[in-house]
Amino acid sequence: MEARTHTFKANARAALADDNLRTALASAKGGFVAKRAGAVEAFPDFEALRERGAAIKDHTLANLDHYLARFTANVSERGGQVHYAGDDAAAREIILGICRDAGARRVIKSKTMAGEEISLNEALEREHELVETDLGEYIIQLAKEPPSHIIAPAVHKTRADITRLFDEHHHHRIDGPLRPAPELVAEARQVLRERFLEADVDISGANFLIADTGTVTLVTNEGNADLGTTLPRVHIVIAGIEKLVPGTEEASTMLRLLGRSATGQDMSAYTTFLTGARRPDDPDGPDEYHVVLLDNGRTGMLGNEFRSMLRCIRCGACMNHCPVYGAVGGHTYGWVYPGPMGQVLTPMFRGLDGTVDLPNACTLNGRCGSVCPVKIPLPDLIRHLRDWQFDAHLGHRTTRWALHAWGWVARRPRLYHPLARIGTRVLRWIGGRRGGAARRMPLAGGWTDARDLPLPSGTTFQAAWRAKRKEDA
Amino acid sequence: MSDTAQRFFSTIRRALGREAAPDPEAIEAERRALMAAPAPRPKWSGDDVTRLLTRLEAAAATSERIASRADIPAAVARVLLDAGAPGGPVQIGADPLLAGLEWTQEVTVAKGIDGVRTAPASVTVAVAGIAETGTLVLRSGPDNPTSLNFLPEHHVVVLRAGDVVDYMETAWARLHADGDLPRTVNFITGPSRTGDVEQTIELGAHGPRRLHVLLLEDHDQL
Ligand code: SF4
Repeated sequence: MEARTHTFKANARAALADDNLRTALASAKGGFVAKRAGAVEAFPDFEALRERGAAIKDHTLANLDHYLARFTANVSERGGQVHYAGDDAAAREIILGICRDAGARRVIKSKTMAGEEISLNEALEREHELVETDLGEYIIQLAKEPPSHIIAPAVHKTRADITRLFDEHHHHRIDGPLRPAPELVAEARQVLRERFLEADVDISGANFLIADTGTVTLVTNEGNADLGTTLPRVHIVIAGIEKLVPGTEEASTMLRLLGRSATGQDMSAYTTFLTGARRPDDPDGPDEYHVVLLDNGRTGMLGNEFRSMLRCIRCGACMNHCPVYGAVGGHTYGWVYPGPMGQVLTPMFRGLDGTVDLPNACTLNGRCGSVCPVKIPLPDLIRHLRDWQFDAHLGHRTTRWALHAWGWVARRPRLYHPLARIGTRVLRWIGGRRGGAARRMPLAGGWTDARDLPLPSGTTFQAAWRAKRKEDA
Repeated sequence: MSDTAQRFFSTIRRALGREAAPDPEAIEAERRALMAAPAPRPKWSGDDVTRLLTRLEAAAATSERIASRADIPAAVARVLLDAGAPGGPVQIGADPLLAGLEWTQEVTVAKGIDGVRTAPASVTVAVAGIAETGTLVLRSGPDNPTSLNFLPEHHVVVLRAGDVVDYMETAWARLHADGDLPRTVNFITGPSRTGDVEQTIELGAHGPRRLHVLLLEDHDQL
């Protein structure tokens, strides 16, 4: 997928003007938040569960070489083939090679974010007939759009949009009446069932990789991944190396976190554990089984201050709770991973240049960090990226100039105190009769265009503190 | 190890700041310490079977208790009737629990996976049920081929009451006790569903539209 991260502001403006999108986002958001809240409420000690989840991930990441070797040995022992891909191009090459060797014509795919990350669809579509089987992914494949949410890829589409797409692609007609959801789902089932039965290769992602047994774990509600990993003659898994967990005991804890955080379910309808290739007496299952393990920038994070980001289990809770995501939607972020997790991952995977706006599209309200099931300190990481930008001399010139000037003054108390006193008085005067907040501020139009600036009370904190001390004494 | 693999691993080790492969025993010790505390888990009052059936219902599955395996054919016939396909065929694997049952005359029974693409219903046998989440645990193989769990629109699962366990971890302990894991272990919690059309839940997205559980109370048989 081509990155459009550098035009974040323009993307956001367009998204905010799109009424259809705003309707779709508004109806989705409340549902996700309420369902998660209900599930967390019903759990005796969700905080302890988050602690444990974070600790499991940290332990695995700190010993990633060990667990990766173990996973590989176990998959190979059970007839599977493990491939290592250092970057996106290598991963595409491996997957295309497997498809070619298998003489594949038709390829199906169940939702995989790692697949999006390596732009797998574009590459596959050049040589094969490719169909996405997750309903949301299928919808956006028809619309020729990238996903806008990591667990609900078509969350930005309304029922009218979907009716139009299905009418056009399944019936070659336009302007049909709005169709009810059950009818649309049944139609997709019918169309896609054929695709499952005739496919040569299935490609899926993985939610967890279990080292002790060499097991790939897939969590879905539709059952598309299960048909995909059972019917075609070749199955390829593509997964980031951070998906590892030590054993099934640890996986149980992670599963308790995932369902509740993603959709508010204790357990998704289908949690599937795939261990190795088809056994000699198995009546079904693929003849060939491959697992492609992807680095693509992950080891960079493993070795720097952003290691905690690799705990991410791709639940989507951070974006569901983000006011910025809720207003502008996933496409605005311009690449595969939207919302707070994307604001950290995208600069990590794609570099700081061209992603300058991402860490700044954040109010630092902290909700993402407080709902994250593996306790990733997202706001801290976002703030940290701003520091990196500053050090790398990225960002807007006025901001840099203003911060430099402020820093220079703040380090000189004799200058700072009188200036602060004058400053607060001026601001107070601007607020004037309206009191409390300013609608416009010279030099800060970009900020006050969309919100009021809360104004100081007319005195500085230090002056107020001194006065209070005097009073108390 | 191939060159690619070697490079892959050395990049990881460099990021972790170590030169060679780590000491597995030290890692195992750290892991044991980490997992020593019991996992935070849901609690319930009442027995595990009731909890399981309640959770299954919450996940939009249906269930009934049957006294003996001789009751399976009649229960399946009712599911077929509800499905509007009274004659079946109903697809089953080689599980001994389903062998030699007396099916009513109008129901056709198909064995193995031939015909599973068009069969309206299937019956498979779970190796465990998890009370915590209302989850059925199924193992792949000739006894219960995986495609039977997903292709037909109506899926009946037989679960022995004695195979109901409390938590996910207990189910895993059982699976591991049976030796190497099969190619597929399916944890099934309710019928197939999607929320991709405006976040309203629709059943039967790709897998079964209906999941019906027969809880077999008889402990003596098989
Ligand atoms: S960062 Fe946390 S909340 Fe966001 S998707 Fe990852 S695990 Fe979920």
